[in-house]
Amino acid sequence: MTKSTAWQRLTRRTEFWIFLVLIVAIVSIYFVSNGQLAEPNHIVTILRAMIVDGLLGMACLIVIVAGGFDLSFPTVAACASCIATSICVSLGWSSTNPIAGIILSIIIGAILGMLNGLLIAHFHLNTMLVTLSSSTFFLGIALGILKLREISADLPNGLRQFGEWSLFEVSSSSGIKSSMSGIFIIYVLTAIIVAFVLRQTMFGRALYSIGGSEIAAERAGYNVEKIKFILYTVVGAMSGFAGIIRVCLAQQAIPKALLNREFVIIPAVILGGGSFFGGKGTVFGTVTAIALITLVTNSMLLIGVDSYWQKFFNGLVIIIGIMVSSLQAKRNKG
Amino acid sequence: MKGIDKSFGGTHALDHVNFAVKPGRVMCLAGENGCGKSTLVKIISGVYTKDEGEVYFEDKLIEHITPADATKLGIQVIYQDLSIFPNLTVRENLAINSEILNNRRFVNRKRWDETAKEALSKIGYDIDLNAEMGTLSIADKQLVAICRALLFNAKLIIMDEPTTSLTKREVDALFKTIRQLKETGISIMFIGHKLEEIFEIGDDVCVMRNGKNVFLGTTEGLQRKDLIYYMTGREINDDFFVPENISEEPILEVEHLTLNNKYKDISFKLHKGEILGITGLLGSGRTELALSLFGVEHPTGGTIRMSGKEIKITSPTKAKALKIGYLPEDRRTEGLCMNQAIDDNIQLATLQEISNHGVLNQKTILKHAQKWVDKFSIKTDDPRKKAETLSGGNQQKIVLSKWLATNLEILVLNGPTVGVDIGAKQDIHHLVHELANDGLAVIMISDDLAEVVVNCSRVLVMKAGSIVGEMEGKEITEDNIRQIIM
Amino acid sequence: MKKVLALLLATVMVLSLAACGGSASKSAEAAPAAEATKEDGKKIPVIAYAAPVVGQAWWDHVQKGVEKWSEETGIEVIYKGPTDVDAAAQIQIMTDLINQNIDVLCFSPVDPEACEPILAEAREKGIIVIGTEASTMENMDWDVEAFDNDGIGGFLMKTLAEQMGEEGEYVTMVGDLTNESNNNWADSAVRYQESNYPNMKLIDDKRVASNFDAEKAYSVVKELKQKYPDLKGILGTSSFDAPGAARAIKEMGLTGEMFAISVAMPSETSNYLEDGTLKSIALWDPALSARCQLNAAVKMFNGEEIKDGTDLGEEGYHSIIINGKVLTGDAAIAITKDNYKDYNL
Repeated sequence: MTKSTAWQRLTRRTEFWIFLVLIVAIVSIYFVSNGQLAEPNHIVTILRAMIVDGLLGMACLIVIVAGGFDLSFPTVAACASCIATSICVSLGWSSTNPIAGIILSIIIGAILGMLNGLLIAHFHLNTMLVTLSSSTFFLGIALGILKLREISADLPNGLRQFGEWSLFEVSSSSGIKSSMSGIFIIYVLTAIIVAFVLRQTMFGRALYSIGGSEIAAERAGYNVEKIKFILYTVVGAMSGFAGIIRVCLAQQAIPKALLNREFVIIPAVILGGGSFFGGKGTVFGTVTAIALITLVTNSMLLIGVDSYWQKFFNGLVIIIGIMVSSLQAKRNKG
Repeated sequence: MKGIDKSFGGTHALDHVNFAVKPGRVMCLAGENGCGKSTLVKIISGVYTKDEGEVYFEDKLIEHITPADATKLGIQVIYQDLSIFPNLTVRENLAINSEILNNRRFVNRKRWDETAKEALSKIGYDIDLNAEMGTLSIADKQLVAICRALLFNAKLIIMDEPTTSLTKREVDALFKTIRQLKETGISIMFIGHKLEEIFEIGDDVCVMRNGKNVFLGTTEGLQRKDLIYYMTGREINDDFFVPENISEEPILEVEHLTLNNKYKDISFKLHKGEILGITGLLGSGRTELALSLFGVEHPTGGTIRMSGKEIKITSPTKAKALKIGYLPEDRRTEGLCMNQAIDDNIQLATLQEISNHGVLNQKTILKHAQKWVDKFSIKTDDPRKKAETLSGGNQQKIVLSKWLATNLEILVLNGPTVGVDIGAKQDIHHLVHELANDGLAVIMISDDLAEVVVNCSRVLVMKAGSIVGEMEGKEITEDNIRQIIM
Repeated sequence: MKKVLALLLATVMVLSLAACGGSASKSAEAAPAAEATKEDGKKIPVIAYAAPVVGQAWWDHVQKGVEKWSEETGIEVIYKGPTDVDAAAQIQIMTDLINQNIDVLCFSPVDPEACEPILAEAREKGIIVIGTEASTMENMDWDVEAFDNDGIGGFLMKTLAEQMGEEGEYVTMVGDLTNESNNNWADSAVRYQESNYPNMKLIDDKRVASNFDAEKAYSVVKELKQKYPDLKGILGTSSFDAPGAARAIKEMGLTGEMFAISVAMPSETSNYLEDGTLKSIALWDPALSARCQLNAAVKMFNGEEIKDGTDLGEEGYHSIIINGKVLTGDAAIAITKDNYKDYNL
């Protein structure tokens, strides 16, 4: 048995390749846009734009690692944050600081996630079908039963100011000012925490194990049912968190805001090294893939691609990325 | 450890079974599929609870046992699927069980590394700890699984059909490891149904049939014939194939057939009424050659002639039209629609013929299928049941009958009895003999040398993509083949 | 696990109970049908107004307008609508109304398609049926619209041009590149600019999408400004465009140098109108549309003909254009810092 070198192991990882693609994309967009990409103004905008997708991406990642498939996380994010914001508005919470609203959204997200967890873990139902129907169910609760509506002007001041939290201001060569959102720090912290949990805790390893082989995980002594229940609860909580962050950034709570976002996020996680069959994926890969997609989406105008072609290019990036990773997987086998 | 004594009752699966595993010995639990072997294992390892009877471990009566208890007692099961995590590294696969058992919350790379190294040192096995489990060969996976089992001061290791997917050489290596373990005082419970292996590795044998144990004793002095009788409940002899009418003219002539990197310059003739064996190690090109004859792989050079006319087999559809049938290596994925009814599977290749202008009638299908079910004595009470409800042997019979329903000229069998127990194996052999004598030309590809010897009238031996030997009639012996193959 | 299940079930039940409480509200308390009285020898029609919802800002504003109209004309209007935007509830209300011997039914549909049968029934009974925001419907006499595509497109362009000093570069923004009305508005705006403001220029035929999302509108505007430093105006259409663009303009410190407009709600843009990031937003006064519905109904009831150029008696509807069953006014209004408080929308 020959020992593989660190370099061989690195190049075998999808994360490595997607990171390369990101670098290539950065360099080529930099040149095509005549260096405008590097304008601090634009960098700040892109960094800000990846926060919400990135947070959702990590929620999606941990499900995919465990071999599950969640279609409901964007709906959970939207519903939890809108319910939380409505409660804040009607009870007058969060008028000075955002904590109450954020915690409320996380709790509501966790409750919705628990429902998924219960159906999936306890009743052993198919994750995709459960989350597909639960997302409709959640949206139904939000729009039909709770009559949630858009909240923008009434947005509690605490949440509004949190969304406007500025780390520093940059100005570009033409004198345009932009402020770096402080919420980016929270994004980075979340990524570090999720990465730590996945890599360094037995819970995280349990997710990889379950994703690799559920039967083997059970035989190894994991309480698979309990872990899955916790997993979907955590995913709900993370989605709720991502949702309320979006409310703060966009300064409006819209129940349908993140609808269909899963069709961007799930491919991104796969692009970043996740596998439809479970057991694979890292925070680094997901964050990189989200960065790539955000970069491309937000640089289309800069490099002069007509708006009509944007979706085409977005799709292309995803297809190329997935091809790279599957070729990668094939090469590993052979 | 003096021994385990257990008896169960009540269920049909196990009917008052008694046996003992003695320290430092290999106990073979033998029996055909469905005899209750697996159920027994699950009871010992705590997955199932027994209805009746007593289990003793090291003289202590064990009332109730959970999988975790079993581990603590020193009982380890290595399942057929090995229970490994293909997406994790070898290190993690080795260490994870003990981490869970110790209720760890966080990952400590250093501790994992130590655990993994300790595990490997138990049998002096060396492998890259950073390698991803899924990239290893089955044999390596198995060794990792064994090392993992040894971590828990295992006193009894149960191996559930460990040799199923291994090549001969890998089996030898495994047996070496088992002997090594034996020397350290560990007891092994070896579950299997291959006679050669039972005689080679077993010290004691427990044979089960229909949930009862029908024989308990040592392998010493046990006759091969008797063992077969205990397992199957009937006398089974090696019925050598005697070709009755081999045609003068070859039906198939293959000349200089080549497929890049797979095989090269393959030439042979096939006559009606003969069974031509093609054998060789895994990777010798035998499977690719078989697939070329069925139009799945496309040769890059050479010619194939059928009844004197040159043909190009470009697709399985074309092969079917030429009356060439193929029984795949892996019937589960390539040969059968497992979740479809038995009769639908049988008639799958002939739907066009039995349909009324493309419209199918379930009754017609059933009628045709019943014919084959009867002819092959496929054990099912209802041909409408799903194929996956059948045992391996019966599944294989379905695949065979599927092809025979089409009136073939040439039948290519690839590993026709892999994973099939002795009784059904013989049924299949008899069937193939009968077919050949009815004028069918059969190519049998197999790495089971005994099977080749018994069944083939002529044998081609392949090695690294070329034919390295040809034998006929009495020349065909296991030793002769082995000499060329190695 | 059982406990959690029980808890969840309880939560769901409480939620749905709350929901039942919410929707089982008193919607249409059937008022006795006012008998047709006479005054000055003139017949007075019995008019009903079926709103898609009551108790919501937009329709509260309409209700006030209708009540004012009632006071002014002395004609009573039964104003009803469900407490939730609910197509079935609205149809129930319509059914109750047409059984009350009314002469006129004005309405704005929740679900145009679903209203057709009941409105057909109303017309069979000889009831005059006048809608608004129902331009695709069949079973009605007239539909009153504040503006058509050209009207609103031209209005948006005119307002933006004033702010930009009739010169400089601009782009158009739509909710989605496939949204029909948004794109029609943007097209007419561009045509209006081409024929009226020669010093203005549409950058590279640019049309960008906000995905009906203020956050996206925000980042698109920032990116555009990066790419086109001379960009001076954003002609938005969807109600998410102006608020998002305004946030970008404010953050970039370009208030007063760069301008944005779109159709938008005063309540969602008040802060930007107040601090001057947005000079104005475009809107129409739904109360005026409702009053025109009522005026048109009275005209029909009195046997007056409605034709091109007819004056419906309200600002912006003095000379209506007829297209099929649609009566179109020119009633887009600019909401500014000074008047947004009048529109509690």
